[in-house]
Amino acid sequence: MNNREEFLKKIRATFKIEATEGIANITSNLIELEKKPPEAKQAQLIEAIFREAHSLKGAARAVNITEIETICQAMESVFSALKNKTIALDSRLFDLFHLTVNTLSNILEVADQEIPETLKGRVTTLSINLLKVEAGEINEVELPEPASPPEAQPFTINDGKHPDDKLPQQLQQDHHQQPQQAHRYQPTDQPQKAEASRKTIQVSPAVKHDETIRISVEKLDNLLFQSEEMLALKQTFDHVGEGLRATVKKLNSWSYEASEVSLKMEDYVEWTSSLVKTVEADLEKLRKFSMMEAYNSGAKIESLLDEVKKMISVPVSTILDVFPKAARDMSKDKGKEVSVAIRGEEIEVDRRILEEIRNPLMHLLRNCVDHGIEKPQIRKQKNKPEKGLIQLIIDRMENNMVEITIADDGAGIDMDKLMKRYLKQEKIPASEASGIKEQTLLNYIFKSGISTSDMITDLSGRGLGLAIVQEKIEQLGGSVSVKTTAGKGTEFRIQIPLALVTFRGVRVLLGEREYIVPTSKIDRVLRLDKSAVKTVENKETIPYNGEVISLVHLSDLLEMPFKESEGTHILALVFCSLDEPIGFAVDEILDEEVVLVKKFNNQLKRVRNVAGATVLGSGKVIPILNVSDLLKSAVKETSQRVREKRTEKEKEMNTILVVEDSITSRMLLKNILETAGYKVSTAIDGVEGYTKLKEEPFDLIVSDVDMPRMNGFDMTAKIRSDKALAELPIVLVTSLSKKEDRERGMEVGANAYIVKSSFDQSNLLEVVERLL
Amino acid sequence: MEPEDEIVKIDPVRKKKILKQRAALYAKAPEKEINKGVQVEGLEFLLTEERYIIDTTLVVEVIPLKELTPLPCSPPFILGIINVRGKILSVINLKTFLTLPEKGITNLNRVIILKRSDIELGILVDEVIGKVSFFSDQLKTSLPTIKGNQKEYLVGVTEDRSIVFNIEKFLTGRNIIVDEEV
Repeated sequence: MNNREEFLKKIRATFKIEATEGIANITSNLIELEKKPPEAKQAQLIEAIFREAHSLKGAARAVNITEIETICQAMESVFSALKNKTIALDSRLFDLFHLTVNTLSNILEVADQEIPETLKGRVTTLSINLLKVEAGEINEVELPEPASPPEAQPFTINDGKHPDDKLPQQLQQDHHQQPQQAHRYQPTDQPQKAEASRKTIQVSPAVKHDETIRISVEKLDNLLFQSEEMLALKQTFDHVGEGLRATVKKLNSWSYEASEVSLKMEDYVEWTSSLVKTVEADLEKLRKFSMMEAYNSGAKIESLLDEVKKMISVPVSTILDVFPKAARDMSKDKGKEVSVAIRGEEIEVDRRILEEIRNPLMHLLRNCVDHGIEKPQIRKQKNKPEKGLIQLIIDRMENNMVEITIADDGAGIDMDKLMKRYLKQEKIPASEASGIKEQTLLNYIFKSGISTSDMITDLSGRGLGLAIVQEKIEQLGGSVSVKTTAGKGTEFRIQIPLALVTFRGVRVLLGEREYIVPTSKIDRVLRLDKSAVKTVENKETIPYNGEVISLVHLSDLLEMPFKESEGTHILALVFCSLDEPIGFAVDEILDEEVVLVKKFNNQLKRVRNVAGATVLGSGKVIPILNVSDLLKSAVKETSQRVREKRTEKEKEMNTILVVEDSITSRMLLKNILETAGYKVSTAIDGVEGYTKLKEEPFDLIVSDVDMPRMNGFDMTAKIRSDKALAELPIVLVTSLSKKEDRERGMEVGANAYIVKSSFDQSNLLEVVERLL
Repeated sequence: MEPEDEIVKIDPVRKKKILKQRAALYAKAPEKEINKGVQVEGLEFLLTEERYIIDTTLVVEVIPLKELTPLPCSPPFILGIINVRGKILSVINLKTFLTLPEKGITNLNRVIILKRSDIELGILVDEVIGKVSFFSDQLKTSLPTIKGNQKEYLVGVTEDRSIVFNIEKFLTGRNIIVDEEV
């Protein structure tokens, strides 16, 4: 690509941003204008549209997109005429105006490539018609069929990057453009007389803008990312402080012990204790300093993060601005009439959250238009205004949440139909229908595959949408609920956090692995005697709030090797759930922390039961569990399987110690042995291995040879010289394959010697089995 | 002005002859380079005693593996997740991914971080040998010893019998993407 092309590409990108904004402004002004506001306001709006068209024209000329320039030119002339009152504002004009704006967007979409002939044709038709309007020949206007499909963006879970979107949309457009039918305006009422509306035009006071500067979203995101990292730094300080505290404590106990030692060593003891005291004092000073620093830097970092978060917070209106227009297009397509009222759009929310809920909101809007609002004639019969009303109300709530309500004044959800669907899909006999709560039914509409609409339309009605809406909102740490009144309307309430980033999580232990569960999702933590677990119909159950609920093992859901929990009690988390509460057994609950959510990149688009990960102050990476997934998994997980697995593994387990310095080899050996049904502990070198042997009994050792501190040969020799351990079977696994090495291994007393390069699972297991 | 004088002095027939000879000389490309094709830079690493070469342009860095957190409910080829300067990346076991026999254990402890647009991940290897260059036309493309899914990602085998692995195809393929509903 040569410089000129590159330059053109660059300025076109800038133009695209600018033009999108301009088009959005024109659209919202048009919508306002169509509501027939008072004269003075009308004049302001006309002026604003005129200006936007004018500047867009200039910008289009600069980047050499003649189509946009032509249309804007015509648009500008019409609004200039409206401004000067040489023509009057006629309500019939709005379809033409909206079509013009749609066409502008269409051109913009394809502006990077060759503009298709059909689109060019439309540009010509539109500008001719606009010129007719300008000349006052409004009855001559011929309106081409609307060309753009109403906001038919496919609705999906991922973050809106759809390389495939473009194509079908363009095809659709072309398809719509083919029929060149035109319909002629029927003169219904007399054109308004221009004089009638001539009054004093109030000059709008100049709006004072805060000084702003355009920064790319990417740069802001990077800044946020860096600032978030600072939070980890603070956690590190805390961690260091804790470490120092523990060290001081150890020294304390040592100096205490030292003072007890016999008098003979008096001098030595005195010297030591004074030295220890100095070290203690130094450490204490360091600890205080580190804690102080953690506190100070923490405060600074948090205020920095707050500022950065403010930077990426934008008013909700940035995504809602298109809604009135979208609703207009959708309802027109359905032969319905709808107006949209928005309240609270100035409330600011994290841009990333807004981006994520744009599609869910659009889907709910579509739902309102499609299923909620009735056709005008039906509304008339029901004594409702012919024009339906959809209200979007945004409210700030406590604890940094925002509530968005989408309410329509339509027919409401048909509960009878929903009941029938529910009974059929869940295979419940009709006789039990009376026992089903209304809330259960309403929650049911969020399950995939449910729609009360008999006809599947291209907009919604496939039933899948609401399930995805719910999933998306829950992913953001929010919730959604629905209320409906027959004949009066339906109301969706969405609660989402104002900002992403951190949340409180409970750290739990399963086997040797740690996981984080969002605190907000935990209803209760139960500590029960093992005898409280009763098996009912092959399912484990526990008592909870006077009821009996099922108990599942979190380690089973996470597909971890089974281990019988020791001790006389079980710990279970009960998650907040709309349906039945379920208990999730864990081995241990460690603590509660404020954690920073790290999302995975697109390679791990969606991992079952895992929402992301976090990094602790110690640098340890811990997965964050996805509670709504777990609830689903728990229902799926058949108790049958759990039981089978248990009985199979209940045979007596031999314990094996794996000593290996390489983390992957260690994990591999551990996995192989655990899968074969052994209980496995690990150590990272000979010293640790030998220490572990002293602490607890093992039935066998599998060890590497080449390790730091104490190698496998030395460890084997040491074990053999220890009377208590002399008989312990030892398998050496090593990359050293020389004959001398093998001989050395046998010499120090190893029972078997496996060479890594010829290693495979079966031969290790065979050797282990033989030695036990 | 001197060169011009010189040219004038040369007899036109002879001049033409010299120029022709020179032209012929320039027009002839060195034989070896034509045969060998384009020279490519790659990163060579060791995986279970086999040497692999990948395109360096998609390699971000090579880091030692210190800690690895297992990721539940993920496919077997994902060994776990790691934290690389604040980003959480998954570490892939190429052997499992390529369904190569799990024979021999090695001290896998280097992670090659790869990135292509919005996909970023690490692959675990035994040892990174270093940068190498080879000629694309010198590769052998079919070998009977290639096992499992290796074939699909094989560009060819160099004279030194290193396997040139199509890392671009690996990173753009659907196979490495985890996208599972409950």
